[in-house]
Amino acid sequence: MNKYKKITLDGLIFQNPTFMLVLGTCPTLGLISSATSAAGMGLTVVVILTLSNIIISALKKLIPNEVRIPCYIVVIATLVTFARMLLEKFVPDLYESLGGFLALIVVNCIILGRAEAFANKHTVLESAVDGIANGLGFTCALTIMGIICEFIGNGSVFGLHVMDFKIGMFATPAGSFLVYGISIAVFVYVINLFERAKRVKVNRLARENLLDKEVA
Amino acid sequence: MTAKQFFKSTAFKCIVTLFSILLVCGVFLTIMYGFLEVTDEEKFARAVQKIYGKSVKTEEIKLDGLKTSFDYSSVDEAYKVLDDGNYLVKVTGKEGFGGSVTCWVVVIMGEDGDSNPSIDGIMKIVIDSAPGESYISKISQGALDSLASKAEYGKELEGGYKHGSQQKGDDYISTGASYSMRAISNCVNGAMEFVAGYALGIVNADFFADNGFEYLEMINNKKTSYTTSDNVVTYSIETTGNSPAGAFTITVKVGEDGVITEYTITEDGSTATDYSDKVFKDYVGKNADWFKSVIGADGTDNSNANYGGNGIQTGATRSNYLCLYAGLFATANYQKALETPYTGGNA
Repeated sequence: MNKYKKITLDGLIFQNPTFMLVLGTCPTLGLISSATSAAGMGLTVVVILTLSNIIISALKKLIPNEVRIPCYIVVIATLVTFARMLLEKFVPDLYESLGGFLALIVVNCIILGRAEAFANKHTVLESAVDGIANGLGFTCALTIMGIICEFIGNGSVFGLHVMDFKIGMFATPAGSFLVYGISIAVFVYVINLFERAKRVKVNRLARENLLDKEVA
Repeated sequence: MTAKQFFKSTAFKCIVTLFSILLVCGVFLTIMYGFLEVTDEEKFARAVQKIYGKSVKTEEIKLDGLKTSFDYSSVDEAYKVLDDGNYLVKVTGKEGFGGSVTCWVVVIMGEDGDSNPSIDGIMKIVIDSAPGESYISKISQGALDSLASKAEYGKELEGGYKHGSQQKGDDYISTGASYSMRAISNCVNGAMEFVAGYALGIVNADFFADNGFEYLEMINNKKTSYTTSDNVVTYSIETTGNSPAGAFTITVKVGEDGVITEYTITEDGSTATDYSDKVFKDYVGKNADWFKSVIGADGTDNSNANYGGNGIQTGATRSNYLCLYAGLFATANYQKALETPYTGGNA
């Protein structure tokens, strides 16, 4: 398989940071009560994660191993501060809706985790792809759960009123926690089904090959 | 280690690398801040746009010499909106979720305009900034509009928790950010108080402090008043909260020599009946010295260290402290109250 395709599928699905690695739980639980906030946070993380991966990958040979974590944190904090400035200047509504969670991206374990686990071992291009894939994986997860929570908790989707019926608990972190747990269960179940089907297919092909060889 | 060895060591390389990255990042952010700084003018224009949906003509009110600091809020900026005659006030409300909330509040003026100014309520509340308020995003514009509709001049708005407690206020709006709503309510109260002082000429916020009354820390000066008759002072006191205990409303009569002759709790701020039962109520015959012996000469001993020896059952320390403090306030200010007719506007 093409390595870029594998990096992309890992980030989006097989090592999805939210559902499979359970990283970035704090902003997930704090923001998925609104689909708009969730999507906004996700897209911000995509940009920061991609840029941090690129910079850290480019600097990996210059940064001594002993101080790599402080250096990563400084780079990530700079990018987060820059993102905050941009959002406050050009998208003030989103800036306000993200509240304190925007600053907390500095300590988001997805970003530091990808820097440590991937960017400092791979090329700039691979790291960029990894950043985009993981960021989009995070964004999709947050947005899907945001839509579910907002729909059930407020009867709306992306702020548009859909129905009058609502269960207020789903607009709170407790409801978010419930939706998060159920989403993880469903996602892992689907991935397991897919992988089992893949294994069955591989085994069947192997058996057919073996039979063909025996017949020959 | 020699200097030469140090300069060749990994430690030196680490220091140089870290400081270089810090320097580059610092310079980058400084330059970017120059381009991306949101100026006060921009913030003001955004607030006006949010409130009115268009730009409006305003006239800035100079705050020098005006009363801008209130119990739970302070006014940062104020404008008269020339298009409709209302006031646009930027206020910072205290008692949020560990921080404060700054809001733009539009105070609606009566139809008579400047000839006979009156306050008709609040048109709009818009959040400007909320440092440290993690759950501020839970407060929707709908909740703020609902809070604005509950605001009335002369009534203290309580859209979140009550002051100093976790009890719901009278105008409570469920948002998931009750502390932040308390700070926003404080903004609204502060804005109306400021406009009342500026446009209506009414300044009665600090009657007790202005007249030299003591022991005010746990007393809600906007809901406390007294009357005097034949050397008897009858206080109607509302305390602040003392989390988790909420505010107590107490009627206290103080007679000759500053001794309590009647002490009735009319609203119990305890969080449960269990605690209400443990609130000491036998204050008749007690004077300021007795209260000082229990909660200290300055009234700040918020512990139960001296409760036992004075016949007070422990188990409701926070509630008992509020009741003791109200008693201390009433008895210690007995002479002052006799000499100063109450003109605070809460009677």
